[in-house]
Amino acid sequence: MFDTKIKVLIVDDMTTMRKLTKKSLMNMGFSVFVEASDGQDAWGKLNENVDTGLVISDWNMPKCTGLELLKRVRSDSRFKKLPFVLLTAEGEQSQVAQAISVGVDNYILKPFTHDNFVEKLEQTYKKVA
Amino acid sequence: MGFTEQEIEEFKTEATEMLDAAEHGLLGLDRGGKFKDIYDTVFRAFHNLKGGAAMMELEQLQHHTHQLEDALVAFKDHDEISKEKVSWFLRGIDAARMILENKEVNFDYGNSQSNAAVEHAEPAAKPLSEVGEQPKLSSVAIDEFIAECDTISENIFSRLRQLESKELCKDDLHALYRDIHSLKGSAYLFGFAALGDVAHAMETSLDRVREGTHLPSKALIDSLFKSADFIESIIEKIKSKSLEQARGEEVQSIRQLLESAANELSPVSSMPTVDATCNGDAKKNSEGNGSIRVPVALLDNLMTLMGEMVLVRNQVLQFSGRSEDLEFVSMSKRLNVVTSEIQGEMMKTRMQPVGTVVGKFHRVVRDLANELGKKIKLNISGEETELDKSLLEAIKDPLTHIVRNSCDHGIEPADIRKSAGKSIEGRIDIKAYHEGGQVVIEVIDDGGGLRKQLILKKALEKGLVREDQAAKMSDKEIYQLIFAPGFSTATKVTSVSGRGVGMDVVRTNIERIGGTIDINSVAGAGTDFKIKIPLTLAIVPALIVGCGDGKFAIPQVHLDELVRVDQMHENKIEYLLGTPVYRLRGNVLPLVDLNSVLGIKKEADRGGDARVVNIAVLNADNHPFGLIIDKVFDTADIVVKPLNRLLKSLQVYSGATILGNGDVALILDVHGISKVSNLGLKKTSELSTSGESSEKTRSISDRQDFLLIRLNSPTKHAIPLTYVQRLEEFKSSQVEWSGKQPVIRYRDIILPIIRVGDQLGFEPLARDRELIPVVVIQRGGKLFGLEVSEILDTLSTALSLDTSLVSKPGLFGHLNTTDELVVVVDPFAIISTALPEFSPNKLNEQASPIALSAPPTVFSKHDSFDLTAPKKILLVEDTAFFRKSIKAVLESAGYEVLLASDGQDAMEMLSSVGEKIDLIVSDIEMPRMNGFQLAATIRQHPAYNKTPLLAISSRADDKYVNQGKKVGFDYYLEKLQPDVLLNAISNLVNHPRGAA
Repeated sequence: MFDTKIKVLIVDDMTTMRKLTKKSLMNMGFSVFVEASDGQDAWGKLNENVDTGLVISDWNMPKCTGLELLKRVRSDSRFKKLPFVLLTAEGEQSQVAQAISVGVDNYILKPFTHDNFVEKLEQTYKKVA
Repeated sequence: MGFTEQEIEEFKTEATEMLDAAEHGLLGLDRGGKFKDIYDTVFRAFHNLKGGAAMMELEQLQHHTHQLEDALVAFKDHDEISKEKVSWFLRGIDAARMILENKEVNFDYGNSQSNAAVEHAEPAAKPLSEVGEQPKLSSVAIDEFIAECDTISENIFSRLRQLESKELCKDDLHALYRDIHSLKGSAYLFGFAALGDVAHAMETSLDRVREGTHLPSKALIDSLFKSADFIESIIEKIKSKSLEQARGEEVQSIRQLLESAANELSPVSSMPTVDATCNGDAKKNSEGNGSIRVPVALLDNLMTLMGEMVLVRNQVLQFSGRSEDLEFVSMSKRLNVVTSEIQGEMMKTRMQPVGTVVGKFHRVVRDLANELGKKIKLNISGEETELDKSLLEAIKDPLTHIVRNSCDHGIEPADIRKSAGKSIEGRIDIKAYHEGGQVVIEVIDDGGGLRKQLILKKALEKGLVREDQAAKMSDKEIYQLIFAPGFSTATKVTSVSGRGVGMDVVRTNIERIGGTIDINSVAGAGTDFKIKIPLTLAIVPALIVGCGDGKFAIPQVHLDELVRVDQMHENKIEYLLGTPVYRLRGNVLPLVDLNSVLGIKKEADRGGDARVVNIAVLNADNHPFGLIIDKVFDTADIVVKPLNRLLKSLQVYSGATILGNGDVALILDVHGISKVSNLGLKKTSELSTSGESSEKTRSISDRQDFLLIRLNSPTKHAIPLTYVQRLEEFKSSQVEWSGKQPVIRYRDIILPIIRVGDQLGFEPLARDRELIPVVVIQRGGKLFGLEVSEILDTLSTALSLDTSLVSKPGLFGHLNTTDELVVVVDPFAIISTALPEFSPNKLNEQASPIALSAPPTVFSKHDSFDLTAPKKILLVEDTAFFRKSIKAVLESAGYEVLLASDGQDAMEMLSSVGEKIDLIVSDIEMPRMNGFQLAATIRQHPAYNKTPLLAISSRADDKYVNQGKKVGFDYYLEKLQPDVLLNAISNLVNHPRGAA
């Protein structure tokens, strides 16, 4: 169902969160990952890995937030279609609308279980496809 | 989602870091950091923690951090947070740390924005299996799960087989545990409660085996296999999409099976079967190259081995020095370099920056300042200075104590600071830096400085110094007093200080690790505590010296300089009061000969080379002294080895080492040598008084004379000499009987004879003695003869009488002389029990036929006995022995006696007793308030200025007598002639002052 060969960029300032996200993705069969600890770092990594097939990013991060990263990604012609999923906490739901208007493909509410993570990704792929 | 232990640990580590960051941020607010930045940092920390905790299913932490986050959001558009609120957040961070450590936390969210959430914060105590509602599952996930289960169950089977055949190594055992654990996690996640429950039971049953404390039993392995079978059967069911849950009874029976098997495990001391060594393809943790955790014990071992390595290196070097083989010489040089490098690197593994300890003080100071209502700014410099971990831990508490003291006692309250023209905000600087191979940590405050007068007053009150000493103490010496045991200058005991840990403990702890502490203080400008700590204790630079045939090492830390003195030269060793001294640049340096300290040979035996003397100038507690040594060899890095138990009690050695040539050298303990040679003592007595004169006064006031007698007992007895009138020896034929009372005609009176031994319950004396030794005692104007077995000697001693062990009436107590115990007899009590008919009142009716043997110095003379009603006497005396014996004398004469231990005590008693006191008998030499001061005070007192005052003192020369008269004493008597005293009292009470 997924193309699990693609490269996934995981952006989060918490190591634990990155690991857990990665674990879920690995359970789904993904195996190629790039990790970044904040938006700025992510932008750099993205430019080094233009073949990235999916971005999963946290919202609240130092230096450059997930939303700012999203804006930057969407403003670059290379990444117009790059699937972008935001991880958000409860408090940020109100801002989701903003993210959607900028062009986020989906958002996952934290805390998530493996199941709803899978579900959300499935949704995302359906949408993108 | 199931989490491995590693994941949880990693999260906890990260969470701790985030809490640290939040704390740091909040503290930054106090120090004027940019609000917006700090807000963002702290917010992100709380926010991420909340998210992370939610992911990790740590509900309590999630709710807690959620609360903190909500509370913080309220400040989003502010530009400051109140101090109270910052404190609340800090407490919240502490609580979060506690939650992370699985400790019970009761945090007051009272200040929080929404209290509603608190109710959510109850821990999720529901057993996981009950939560197991079937969640909606995607088929993909299920497939993944089943695949995982298959693998895991396979692994479990193979590992169980290994466990059975005892081929399982420790790593595999852990892997087995992990497999079961993750199976449990995912089973619960997917809602297969039965599967999860069984896995959970398996996991629990393996606990003790995994910890290596118990051996896996046959029963346990059997039940584990059974459980694994069961798991497989469930997985099969899931595969066939029947989704039919296993029945509760089945799960229950398997759980019980596992439980009982686990409970019957037998403990082992070592576990040969589960060895850590896995041959072949043991899975190693691919933990990258960052950092790894190593047990401190391993580092300690390495350090010890390093020490051995250094020793071998030294030996090789020494050997290569004599070698002609160039190849060997160059190899040993290489060895030298490499060893030194390894040593350096090895040291670094144990080093930690001082900042790890002092960094925590930001918080300490902040909290204290708030509590005390002061404003204090803490500046830390040199945080990166590194120190051996164990040393760092050892100074943590002492440093905390000093910092707390600086906040509490050092920095003055704001109003005082203001009136002193200082900025309201106090300042504490902590500086850490290297100096002379040591690490120095300074704690400097700009407070009021140490209050000398207050310290002195306290020290006098506690009896730490005498008044005459106090007057001559230098500032530094006064400051040192705060390190005396039991000293605390805080007049108020606050929650901050006065917690039972004094500065004496601080000093002891610092000295224990070979460090020193020094104080400097300027009144009104602040105090500076300077702590010096050696970098490490394991390998120290030292000077090797020779004395006699032995070699000794002096740690460089204590060595100031080396001096070579030519006795032919003008400046040579001189003798001051019998002690060798050397004048070093105008200062008199006391000298100690290592030979005589160690008892190697006498100073006089020093051979022909006596012309030139080597002196090592050493520093013990800032008291320099010179150590005379025979030879100086070289400096070397020595490896400190613990001292043999037998040598430890000698005080002069602190350790041992092995030198390059294989010789053993003892390491000298500089403090110990100073102590053993009495240098410290001499020092204090020198400063306290003008040397010998103080010695003299001591001996006068403290010495007591006793007559040693033998009774029919193996123990020697004694009678205070002041009671003794005469010593006589009578022929047994002279004894006559008056009724049942033996008497002797003595001069023109009848002398009753009392057998002391009989009174004290000893075996009666043999009756056939020809001569009877008798001690003649005078009481109330009448003479009594005390018959003893033998009169031995007199004893003049400065020892104080111990009254604690006295069990019999008729005894004062005992003296613990260097040779033996001596029991001191109370002669008046003996007389009273032997001859009750001579009660004081009856005695007084008889006129005294005997003249006073030593007429007292009296200022007014009265001479009649008239005691009609019992009079109240206040006895002021600091020595327990005199207090007791004088009281006995007075009571035997029918007076009622009240006791006070010094002048101040007496004044307190006078004001509290409220009854009429007829007479005051006072000693002169007393702590706190002496007799002269007391008399002067009493004469000023409206209620007592007429009360008769009588001085009894061991000093009775004219100067003192006149002084006594001047301040208002009516009588001045020498200690202690009971009869003279009673006579004088009788005069005074019957002819009170002013009435005569």
